[in-house]
Amino acid sequence: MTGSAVTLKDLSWSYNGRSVVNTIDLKIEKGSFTGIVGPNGAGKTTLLKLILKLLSPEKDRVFIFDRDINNYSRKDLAKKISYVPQTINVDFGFSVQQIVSMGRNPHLGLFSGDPARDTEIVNKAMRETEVEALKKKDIGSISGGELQRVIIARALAQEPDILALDEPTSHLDLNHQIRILSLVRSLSKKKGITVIAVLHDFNHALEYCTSLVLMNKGTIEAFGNPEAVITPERMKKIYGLTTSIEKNPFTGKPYIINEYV
Amino acid sequence: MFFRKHQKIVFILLLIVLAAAVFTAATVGSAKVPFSDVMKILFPFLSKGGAVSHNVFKVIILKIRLPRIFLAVITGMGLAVSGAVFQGIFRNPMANPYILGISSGAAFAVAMGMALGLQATVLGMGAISISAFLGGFLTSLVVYFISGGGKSVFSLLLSGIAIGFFLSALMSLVMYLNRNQIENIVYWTMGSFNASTWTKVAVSAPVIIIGAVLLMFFSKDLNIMVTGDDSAKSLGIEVQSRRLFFLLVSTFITAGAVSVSGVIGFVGLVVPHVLRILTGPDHRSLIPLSMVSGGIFLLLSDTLARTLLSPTEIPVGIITSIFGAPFFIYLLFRKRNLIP
Ligand SMILES: Nc1ncnc2c1ncn2[C@@H]1O[C@H](COP(=O)(O)OP(=O)(O)OP(=O)(O)O)[C@@H](O)[C@H]1O
Ligand SMILES: [Mg+2]
Repeated sequence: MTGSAVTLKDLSWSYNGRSVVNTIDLKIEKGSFTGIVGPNGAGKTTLLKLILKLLSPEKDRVFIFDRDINNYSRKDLAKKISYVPQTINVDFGFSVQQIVSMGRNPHLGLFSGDPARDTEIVNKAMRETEVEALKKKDIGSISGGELQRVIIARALAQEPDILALDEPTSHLDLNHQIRILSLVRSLSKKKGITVIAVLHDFNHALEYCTSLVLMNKGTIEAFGNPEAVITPERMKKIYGLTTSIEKNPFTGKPYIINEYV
Repeated sequence: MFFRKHQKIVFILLLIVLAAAVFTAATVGSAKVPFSDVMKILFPFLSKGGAVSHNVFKVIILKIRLPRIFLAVITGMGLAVSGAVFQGIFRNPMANPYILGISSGAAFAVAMGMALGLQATVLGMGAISISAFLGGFLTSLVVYFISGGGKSVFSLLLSGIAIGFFLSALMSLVMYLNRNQIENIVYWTMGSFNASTWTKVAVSAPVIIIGAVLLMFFSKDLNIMVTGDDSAKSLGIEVQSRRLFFLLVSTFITAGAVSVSGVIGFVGLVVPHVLRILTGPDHRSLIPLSMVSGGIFLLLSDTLARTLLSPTEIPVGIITSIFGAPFFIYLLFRKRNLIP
């Protein structure tokens, strides 16, 4: 027993014989805000999909709350961990509210249920992500950033113990990037939700994450405290960029600035 | 079934329209049966006001028109329901019940059956009906397996197209080699309720209605599956097995419909498409609403098919296409205008 939310043991994955995730060992603490960073193609999304059983890992490789992921039914897994993919299919004209309500699916029995409570949870999720005003709108007719917030609302309505997000801020304006990450952090702190987020912005990683995974070419280059993980040497090695770590005058936390090539 | 308020009203209206269509269809036809006699025959316990004027009217209504009406309604229901489900599974509002090659599989099997002069009957169903059912159903299974067990809807779609072309070519070959059967085969592929019997109703109705109820039961999952495989899996849906369930049941329904009526186009495409536009994409309401509308649409089409050029009959598939195709083109234009 490790007491961690997610445990990976000697985990590998290859697509058509091409190794994409290579013998990874990792423990993600309960209640942590764990970031995953790394260059394009490093295997971040693949790693997330393995943790979500969207790809099928071998036995005894991926554990969610110390239980082999293969021993979870999808429904049980969906009660524990929710997913914010980068996008979903929007062609079918469901409304924002209908999409967010789908987050309640794993909690619904075939006949039983508490519709009033479900509605309350769905409304709260829409309020928190500021999509309430859009609730009657067709998800095919909202902006990319709005859609991303709707998907996050759906994941929150799922009331998970672990929230897995794939570049949750990629379509958001600066204001909403900060708001969404702050919301996720406060949920993590208040409810003890474990957050696993693929991020591209190192300053977000430094600001929000309690621990950070730096991936490169399918392996973990560094793992630990974000300030210890992000160093100018590693940035040079992995991204080929010269950077400097400064102090953010607003927060007192480190932030990274880089040369332009 | 899950209706929001206005959908409930639409559903009730549609049921009323369906009932009205049934009475109309029972009354019109090449033999002139007065409406009062139709009512007396349909509701004998009401006929205090004297007997039916001709006994032959009874035969016309009860043995000829009613089974045909029921079969048209049931078939239309089946095609519309499976169209709605196929559109959901393929995440494509232009999908139709024949997308997995059911129509070409059934047509090929029927062509073979006619060329070989098959005669056997099982459960009162003729060899041609049975060939159509098996041909359609087995073809979808083959498509499912060569697509790799339905891992992705894209490979399913491509396999369906490939097998469809292949079987159509084989059917042409069978026709070419058996020219004396060409007329029968072509006539069958155009669809008709001309040979309706109560037996056909009794065999196809349970298949289609039980199938539709099963589909409705899990329609909530279909809503979620529309958002994408990974998205649905992360919401707790066993996507692959659920997809197999939907495909199996709707294929069963479609094959059942094809076996009693031939290949009737556009019902399964247009009806769910229109209902989705008018009443929303939620399959919990879309399936029952499409079901009733499909019944109405096909019954009206068949009534036109047997009355427009009476006493000659037009194959009903021609009518549905003549009405369906322009409508479909209209939808395409509408779509194009929506995309700037
Ligand atoms: N379905 C797939 N089939 C084959 N190869 C794939 C598939 N998905 C990803 N890959 C490959 O696996 C490697 C890792 O992909 P992954 O999506 O995990 O990268 P990532 O770290 O998330 O990158 P990004 O920052 O661009 O999102 C890439 O080289 C990619 O081309
Ligand atoms: Mg990625």
